Amino acid sequence: MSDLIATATPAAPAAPPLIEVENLSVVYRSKGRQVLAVDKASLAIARGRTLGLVGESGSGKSTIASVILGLVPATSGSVTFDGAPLVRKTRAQRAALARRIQAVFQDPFGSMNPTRKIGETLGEMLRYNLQVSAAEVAVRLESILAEVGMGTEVLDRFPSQFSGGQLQRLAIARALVVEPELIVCDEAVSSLDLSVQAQVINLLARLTKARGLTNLFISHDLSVVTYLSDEIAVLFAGQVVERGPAAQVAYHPTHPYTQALVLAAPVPDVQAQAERRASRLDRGHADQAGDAHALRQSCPFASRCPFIIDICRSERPHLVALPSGARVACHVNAPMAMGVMTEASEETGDE
Amino acid sequence: MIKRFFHKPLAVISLVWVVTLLVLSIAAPLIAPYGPDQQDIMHALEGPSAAHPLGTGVLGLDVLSRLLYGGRVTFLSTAISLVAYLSVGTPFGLLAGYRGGLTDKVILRVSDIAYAIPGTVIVLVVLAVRPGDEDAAMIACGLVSAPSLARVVRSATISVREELFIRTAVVSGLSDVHILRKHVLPTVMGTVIVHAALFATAAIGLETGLGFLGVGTRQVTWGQLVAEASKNLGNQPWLLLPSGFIIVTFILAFGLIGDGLRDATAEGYSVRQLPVGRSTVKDGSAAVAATADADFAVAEPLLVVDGLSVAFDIAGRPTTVVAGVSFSLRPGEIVGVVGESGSGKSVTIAAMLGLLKGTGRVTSGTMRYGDRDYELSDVKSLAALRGGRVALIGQDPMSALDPVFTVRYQLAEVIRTHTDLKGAAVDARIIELLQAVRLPDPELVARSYPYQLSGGMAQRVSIAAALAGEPEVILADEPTTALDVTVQAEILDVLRALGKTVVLVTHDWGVLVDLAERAVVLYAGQVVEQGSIADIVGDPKHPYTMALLRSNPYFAAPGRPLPAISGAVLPPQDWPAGCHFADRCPLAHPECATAPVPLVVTTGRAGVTRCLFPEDVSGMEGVSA
Amino acid sequence: MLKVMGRWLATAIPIVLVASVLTFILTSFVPGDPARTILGINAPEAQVEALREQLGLDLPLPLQYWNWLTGVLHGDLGRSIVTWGKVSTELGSRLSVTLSLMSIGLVVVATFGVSLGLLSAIKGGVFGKVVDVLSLVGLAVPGFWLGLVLVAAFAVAIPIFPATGYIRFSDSPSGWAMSLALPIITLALTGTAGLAKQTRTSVMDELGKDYVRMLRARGLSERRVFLHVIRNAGAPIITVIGLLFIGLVSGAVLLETVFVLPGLGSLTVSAIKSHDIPLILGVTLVLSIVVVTVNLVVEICYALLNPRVRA
Repeated sequence: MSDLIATATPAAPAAPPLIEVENLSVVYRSKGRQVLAVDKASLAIARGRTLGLVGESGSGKSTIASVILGLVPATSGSVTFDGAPLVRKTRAQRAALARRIQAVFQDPFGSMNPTRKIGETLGEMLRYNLQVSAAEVAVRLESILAEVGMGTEVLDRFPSQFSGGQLQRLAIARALVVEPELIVCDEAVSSLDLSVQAQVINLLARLTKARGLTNLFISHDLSVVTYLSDEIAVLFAGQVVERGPAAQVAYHPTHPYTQALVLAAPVPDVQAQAERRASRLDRGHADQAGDAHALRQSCPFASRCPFIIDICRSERPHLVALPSGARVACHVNAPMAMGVMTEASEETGDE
Repeated sequence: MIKRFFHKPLAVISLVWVVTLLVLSIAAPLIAPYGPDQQDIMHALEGPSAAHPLGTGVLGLDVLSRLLYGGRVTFLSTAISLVAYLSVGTPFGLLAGYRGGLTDKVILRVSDIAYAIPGTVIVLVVLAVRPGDEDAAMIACGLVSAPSLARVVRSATISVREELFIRTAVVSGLSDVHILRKHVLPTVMGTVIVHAALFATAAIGLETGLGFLGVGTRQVTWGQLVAEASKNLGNQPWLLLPSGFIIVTFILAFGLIGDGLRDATAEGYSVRQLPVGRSTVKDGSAAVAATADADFAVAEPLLVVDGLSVAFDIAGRPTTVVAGVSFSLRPGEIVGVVGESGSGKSVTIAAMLGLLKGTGRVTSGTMRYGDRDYELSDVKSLAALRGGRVALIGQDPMSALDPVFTVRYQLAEVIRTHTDLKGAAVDARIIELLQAVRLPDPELVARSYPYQLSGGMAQRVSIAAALAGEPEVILADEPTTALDVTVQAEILDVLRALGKTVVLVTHDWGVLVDLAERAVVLYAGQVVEQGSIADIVGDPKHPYTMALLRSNPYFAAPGRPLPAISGAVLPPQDWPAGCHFADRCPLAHPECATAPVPLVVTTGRAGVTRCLFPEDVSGMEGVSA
Repeated sequence: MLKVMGRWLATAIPIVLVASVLTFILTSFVPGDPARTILGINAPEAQVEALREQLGLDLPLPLQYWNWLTGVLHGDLGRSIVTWGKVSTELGSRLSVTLSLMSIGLVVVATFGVSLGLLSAIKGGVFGKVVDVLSLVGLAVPGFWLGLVLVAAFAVAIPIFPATGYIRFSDSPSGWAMSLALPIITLALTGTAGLAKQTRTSVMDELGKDYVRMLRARGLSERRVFLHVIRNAGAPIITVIGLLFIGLVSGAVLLETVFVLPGLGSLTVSAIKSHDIPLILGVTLVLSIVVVTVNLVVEICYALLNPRVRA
């Protein structure tokens, strides 16, 4: 396992990011109460790279995806796609962007309209948004189906005639048939059985690479994210608490929450799991599950952190670039003094 | 869809009846023996005769002719009100449900107001404004009923709107009109049809009622015929029958057509076309499994499941989904039952408590527990074990608790059922149980309703409820699948610390390794491998176990394809007579497919594998997609 | 509970007001001149004009509504233009007939409907068939026709019950019961099945839920399990009972005409036929108050059953 670190991806390329999220906040109104789903989160993905976004349920990872996809408005902050702002677009502008940004969602059964044939679903965007001729649609469907390993006979069937794995292949085909530049995978392999999951992961990896796709890969499963991503961002209570090269974050986590996440994820290896459990129990935990979202002025993880010091309760930590290449928001493990100056020091300026 | 509609005899008969009535009404001037107002004073108020097949009313008006003419009014009125009902109710419902926000609020308020005024009264007022204008009355009838349709369509639309396929369509930049027309409308169509049919029956009832009250049109109607009959109940009760028969059968037909249309619409896309079956139930494999497994009995077991087979009706045919599963538990050990969906792992433990869902039933198998033997098909005797000796923890902590009772109430009833505790002792025991599952504020939790708990807290309460009957054995069915990993780790700690005999059902090999000491690996309804965790994970002797572990991303090198298993688990109706994994197995030989493969004892360790070539597994080549 | 009441009041009052405005506007289109109707066809025009002024009929419509509304708030619903009797008095005597018919009908329907539904959910078999057949009857047979058949059978052919008419409870309790028997049987035959079906569906839905399986897994007796099921299945059943009651209000128009009962329904019909606008307005007002009150009762029941509604 440790030899993997040597092959860790080198520093991020100089190319400007295809998608950049800066200080994004999203406030929901739920039953009269305001819920801060995303709290000044920043991340960026360079063209052709895959960013894995991990966090527990309610951490805001799907909300970030929804903002990028235009499903949820941003409350503040900016999202830039290929140099142009992405939020507050009109419906027509969004429709034009749909060609370039596509998504694959978690539930393969839910993401296909059960009343419509596969062919209608796959060709829908080409026909009704991009005004592609019927003949051209047929050609493009045939070629994309071949790429995901299926034949054109599926076009006349209904979703209920497929297994979850097959439907997820079709969902990938539907997203890729318009040749997007950015693909958002929101828990795209999470509901699949293990033996099928590996097939779909391979398919996604192969197509991402072959087409030079930029991929925002959201998952709660750290090992899947580690395998597929160039970089990982860890989200807690709507805030990015750590981000950096995949191997660095997964194998040498710096933020106490990332550490807790890694140690809590059980692995199918008797020796390694025994070690993980021992170090997890060793750390101890303050599991007073307070409402992390309510604590604006403190570190969001303060109520669960075993290493808490005074400043954690009074001041919110900012992302600090560490020599390891990771950026971490933690007063204890990444104090300002440890930070290396980079051109990206705007990370800390989120006031 | 039309084709499927015609496979429903009741609906077809109804349609034929309605069409017949329609044709007869339209043709009334041509075929009616008399005019609608043609009198025959000599034969007033008579029963059926050759001249008047359905008898006569006052002034000798011919009942048959008047029924034929009356149909014209009823058809037209029903059609008018249906058009008003559908063309207002459907679009507003779609709009309110899809748009939400202010649009929704306004439409809801308007429908609240419409609800508060009894529809019949409005229709009558309209008739006061426009005496005899039944068309206006029926439009009013459609309009005052439309809000209720709008509400139904609205809630159907709201649930559709949350579907991922709508999100996908929005992400694809499709217009709202397109999404409503192509995605939302077809999905809510079934609901609309049912309500339209119900409304039509009510509208016909109202239309005839207006005729009966004598406030409708001046033309002859079925309702007027009833009114006429009501005035002559004493001397010619026969008159009630022809008009009543027509009205009742006509309404009934509309109802039945509605049912037929709804079913036909739904079946259109939801019927899973099953591949034409090969053999279904394999008795041989179960028998073989049972005998072979007997060689691998643990010493002094607490509980032994022997040769469990379970069948469900799939597409109307009994289909075996668990085929001869056997395993045993030592007191105090934690055994993992691991498999993918469809492997039969959850069905197996449900069968142990007699809690199979739906059409599921045990076709063979026994359970030895303590010094007693249980037939697993004997649900009654298994029921006696529940809670007090064997307890269950479910997958979804939220749905495992009754939403309308407090935690205290739900724990107390289990405690009272299984122990002699009373009064304050019950309360003390509740707090003790909640502390045992490491809930930080047991008093507060006891007072709470399930909706006030987080998923992790609810699962702890669920475990406390399982412990409340002081059982020896706990069956945990995917107890952490719905939870976040950090919470999962804590729940696994709780389960580990219980000191009970636990059967852990899981699909997650990490969870299995973390908690269990031994594992039973299921694939497509059969045990394929059994042994200690270290043996099974470290040196699997079944190709499925091996391939599955290899395909786990945890072991993968970034940049290299995962060694995935090709294909998918066969559905139960397609299970072959031979090895269930043969079609995906890189080691498969022709003989694997010919006969049921028995479990064989793994050489050199305490375990079994269902493979003819266990020695080849270690050197197995990975398969990539 | 107070919250529920408050929420209800905040919506109920505007609803009743808007409903009355709408009826007011609608009735303003009713043809004919009430002043002329009252005074007769031969009255001199000047006299009619004077009466019109006295009744406020010459005022603009919003002002007329305002006058009517302030009257209503003082308990004055105006006078019938046909009988010149006070509308409030007229309504008062009629309301008791309709309410007794509807509430007894509802109790009968609710008792039979819920128990039949429960039986068919648990035992299935014969009870299920009874529910299915009854629901076809309830769907297809119009109440007024069924009422007439019952009259023909049990009042005319075999004279057990009085055919029509109403006897006051204070005059003769047994006569009162007999006079309401056939209408209530009619209501029961047409209304029971719908409720039974809903009860069966709700109970079956609950029985299929996860928590029921878990209650059984904890070894609770079927009786206790059933307690949980009933309470959870309650909300949709109560909704249907509420709707049934509102349906009975509409149905009263026909039913009271069939059995010649002096209730609000038959009053409505005669008011409509004689274009008696003050009476129409009064009836509509009373009925919409009945409807919103029923909704309040339904809301309170929800809150009693479900802690989330109370919160």
